[in-house]
Amino acid sequence: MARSICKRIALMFLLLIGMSFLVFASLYIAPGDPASMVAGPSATEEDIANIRVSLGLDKPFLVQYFMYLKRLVHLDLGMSYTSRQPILSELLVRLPHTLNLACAAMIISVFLGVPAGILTALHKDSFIDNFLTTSSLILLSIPNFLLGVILMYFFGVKFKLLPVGGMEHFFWTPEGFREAILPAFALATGTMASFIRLGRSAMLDVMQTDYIRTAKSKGLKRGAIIFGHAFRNALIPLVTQFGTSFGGLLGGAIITEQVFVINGIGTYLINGIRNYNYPVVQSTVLLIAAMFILINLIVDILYCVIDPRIKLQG
Amino acid sequence: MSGKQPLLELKKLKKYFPVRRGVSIKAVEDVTFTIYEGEKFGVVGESGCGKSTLGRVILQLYQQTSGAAIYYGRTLEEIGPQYLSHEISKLMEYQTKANEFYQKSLKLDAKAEAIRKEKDALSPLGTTNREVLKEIRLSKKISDLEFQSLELRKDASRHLREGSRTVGSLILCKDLPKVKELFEQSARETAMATVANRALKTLEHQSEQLAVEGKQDASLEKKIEAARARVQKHVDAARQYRQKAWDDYHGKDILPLTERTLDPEYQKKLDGNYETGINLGKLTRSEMRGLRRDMQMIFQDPAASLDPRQTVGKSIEEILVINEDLSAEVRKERVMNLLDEVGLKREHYYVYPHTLSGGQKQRVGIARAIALNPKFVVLDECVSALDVSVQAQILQLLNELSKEKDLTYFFITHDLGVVKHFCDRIVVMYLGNVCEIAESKDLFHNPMHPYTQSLLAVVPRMRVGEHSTEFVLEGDVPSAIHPPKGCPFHTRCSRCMEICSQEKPKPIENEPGHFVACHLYSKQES
Amino acid sequence: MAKAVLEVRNLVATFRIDKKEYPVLRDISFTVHENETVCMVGESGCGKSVTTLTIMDLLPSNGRVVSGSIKLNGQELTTLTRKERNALRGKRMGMIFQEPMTALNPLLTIGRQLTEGLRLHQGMTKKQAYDTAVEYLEKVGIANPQDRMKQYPFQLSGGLRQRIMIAMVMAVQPSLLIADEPTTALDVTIQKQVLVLLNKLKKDVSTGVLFITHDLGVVAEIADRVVILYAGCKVEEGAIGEIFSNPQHPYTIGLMKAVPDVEAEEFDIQPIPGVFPNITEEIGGCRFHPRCPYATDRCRSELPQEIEISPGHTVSCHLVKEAQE
Repeated sequence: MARSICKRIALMFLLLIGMSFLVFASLYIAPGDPASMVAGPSATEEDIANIRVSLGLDKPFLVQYFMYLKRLVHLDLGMSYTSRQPILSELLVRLPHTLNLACAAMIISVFLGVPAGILTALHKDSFIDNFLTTSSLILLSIPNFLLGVILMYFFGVKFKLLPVGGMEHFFWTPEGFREAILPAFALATGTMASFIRLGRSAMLDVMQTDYIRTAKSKGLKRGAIIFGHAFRNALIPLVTQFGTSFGGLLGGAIITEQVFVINGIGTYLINGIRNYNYPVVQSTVLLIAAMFILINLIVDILYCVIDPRIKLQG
Repeated sequence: MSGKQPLLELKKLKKYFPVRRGVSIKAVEDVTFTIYEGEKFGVVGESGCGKSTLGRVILQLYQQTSGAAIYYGRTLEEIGPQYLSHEISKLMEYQTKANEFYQKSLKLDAKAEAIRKEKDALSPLGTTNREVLKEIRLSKKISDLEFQSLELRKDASRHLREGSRTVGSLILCKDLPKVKELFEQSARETAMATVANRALKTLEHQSEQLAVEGKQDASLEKKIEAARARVQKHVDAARQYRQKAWDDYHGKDILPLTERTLDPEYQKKLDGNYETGINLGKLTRSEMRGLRRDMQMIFQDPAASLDPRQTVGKSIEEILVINEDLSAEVRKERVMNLLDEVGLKREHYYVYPHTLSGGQKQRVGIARAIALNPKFVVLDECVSALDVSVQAQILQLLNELSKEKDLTYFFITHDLGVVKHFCDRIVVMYLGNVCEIAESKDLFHNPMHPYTQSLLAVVPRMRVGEHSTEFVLEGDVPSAIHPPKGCPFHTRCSRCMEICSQEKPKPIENEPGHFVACHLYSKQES
Repeated sequence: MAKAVLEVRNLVATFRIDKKEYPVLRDISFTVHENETVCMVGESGCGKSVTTLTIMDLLPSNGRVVSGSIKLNGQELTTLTRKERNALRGKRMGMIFQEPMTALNPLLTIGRQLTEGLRLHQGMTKKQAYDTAVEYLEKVGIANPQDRMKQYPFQLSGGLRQRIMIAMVMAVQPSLLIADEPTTALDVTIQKQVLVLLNKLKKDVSTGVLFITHDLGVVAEIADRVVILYAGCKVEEGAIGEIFSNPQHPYTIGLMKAVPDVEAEEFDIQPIPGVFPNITEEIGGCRFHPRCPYATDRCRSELPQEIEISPGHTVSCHLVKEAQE
């Protein structure tokens, strides 16, 4: 097992390098001259040329890339063209906001979605099953920025129950909790709906297997069958979903941050794109990719914990 | 067994499935036997013994790891496989390379001899350190040279062996260029025969079309006759060229390529390598597709091999659409006839598979398999999923079809009762290895291999009363990734001897036609 | 006479398919005594598996018992509530299934799955349950039981898993053991091991066994009495010796002739003509008449009654009855 995890980690680094190359290359061929961006509108041709040399922009593509990679290794993400601040520290300020939002949303989707999915499976074709599967379909099809605006209008503006925007505190603090409810819900619905549907089908599959029949024939109580035998087996496909949906959540967070005016890396990224702030865009995209890869590593480890077949066969 | 024509010959067939680097599942190990025309050849064994894999390797659904499956149902002249002309073109290379390697090895031998003399010249008891060291150095040099020389000789005979697959012992012939020319001419005639054959096929289809329409055309019949004669002419010519090469040069003017070449025994051995059949593993994809009409397969689960959204008629027709250029009416007529032959009703043409019972679905599977008039059919556990009453119906049908159509069956099963009643000759397999091959009667009256004996002992019998627990095997079949050393069965064998864990027994013919791979019997031989 | 463990009387069960009810068990009656193995034989679709599921109360949601009685140790089961039946399941009757590869939970250790029932039904502590489980693993002939307890099902072969299933069921000491084709998925050499084991265990404990199989060879090896089913009906029942030496029903006779027996000479197996009826198919009179070579007009119109031709040997066939008269 340790060997396969080491392999995964090595693979993770390879992926990151590949990712950095893609990000670097795509911005290299993008229009707009970074040197003139840095120099500002009042700079002379000579200034721009000097800046180009000092940034290394006159070097061939591959040389530039390796310089970039070397800086990456030293955790030097470069300077933001606009604020003249190190990008790393700017990102580190904003990252907690995004993680705060994404984790709150993940908690909502897992802890509401999975039980709801299992509930529907155990009461197949009942009212609650029909209600939840239909509403999950509706939730899946509403874009989260639209839902965000609707929620904001009703709960924030009309009834004034919850704050309209901003997320300054962590969601486990009382103020943070109130702030988090609207954006996290707006972000979580799609993921939650997919957890409901997947949880339902996974549980239905498991309940029809031979070993559940064996458990029934042993006269076990319903609770023992569901939680002792069925649940862990149903978790396996859900864990896969967890990994992929986290990427979705990060992507969704970029938009949700805009709607709810949250100063996270999403806002940072969009501002970076607007200002041709290449190093910012590069670093943010790379950070998001790194988080996504990391989550998938965690998923792989989770598999090992749940499934002895993977743990023992490596 | 004489008088029977071989249809398929397996030579040291091996199939490994790689799992990860350095680890593979050894599914089939060095299987060698011959299946004769019109025979119902049974393969029995427990799950994981490689019987299904073997069936698929024969049909080239899996690529073999090594060894050869030689098919005699068609002649080389009929098919004209590409690999043959390729091999013919390499004949000279084989001979010269063999010679080169041998000459090199002779030079090395001479060198070794010289050094040996030098060594012998040293005083027998080395007195000084330097002398002792020198002696050691020389001995090492000699053994190095000898090893290299041996390797070269092996290479030489490997080249000769490769060449002998195509021309037998003629590879040793002084006039190899002339031999090669004759073989090339033969290959050319074969190519012409293939072209002529294609023309003949088209004409035949036309005639069949007319027959369905109820018309007749005498001139077409004549054309067909002429075309057939043309094919035959080329085939005969091809064969004659080969025969001429054989007659003119066999056993004459042998080059002393290696020290063995003049030995008649060795020549005979090379002749034994001569492949007169078609080496299935060397065929190109399209050549194999052409041969596939000769070699069909029926699967265990008839439901899974039928498309649920396709009517029975369509799914049988499909195989004709792919392989034959026929009009829709002719195809339908053929399918209707097939339905009759396998005991289904003509109405079944229009129904969907789910309305059929298991037995009827298997009949559809059989109809599909015999649609192209094959010679050889692999039946993979084809009655195992059926209930006994229906199983007997299907076995009866298969039996009748084999007589009517001269089919040869390769019948894979785990059920000893079925194999006893259905097959003429049986091979028992264990962990990818052949344990015993015998005529059905011999095998059941006189099982020799301990594994066969215990299999027979544990089969449930239709007899009430005492059931012996003798021969009940302990434990499970070992893993095919790490099969036991020596005889694969020795870990569970009650009569295991010391040699069994050391050396793998070779199949020997203990009684006429009764082969057994077990040290208990090889001892008696020696 | 030994005590009756299971008494099934006039059991009728139906399946609902496309909103219509189709009978799958038509008036089935039989008894299993202590220390007795009753084999239920028939082709797929004859209702043998449905019978076991009905007894265990594990019918799929579209199945329903219409009438009849099932008594376990004299206690009527059909009138019990779901909960009460659940409490009996696993405690008084245990079941072994056909597919050992899928019948055990892949994510739980063997030990956990073995002790679960013991702790629930016998109120054992963890330690007691562990010891009992190890003891039973030894009884079913598993070497190194302590190691096995820690392993997961995927680490074991099919034969071992089936032994573990047997140990799991027998450890609770049920009065009835139901085995649904327990050896069908196993290779012959392993099948023999399991049959030898079951025969041995039967002698040790006073359990009644209801053994479902389609293989008459297995029947000959393990059964004391045989019940033969055809398309939801019981056609013949009798002691094992009687059925094999003196089969009466044309279906039983046909079945015997269709089996390719390794002892018989030559190619002498004879198929039963025709097709096995679908459960949705309506057949008047005797269910077997379309495939019966001796069918008369009476067979086509009138359902045959069960008659006893010798003590314990019953047949449902007009022809046998007429010959008797």
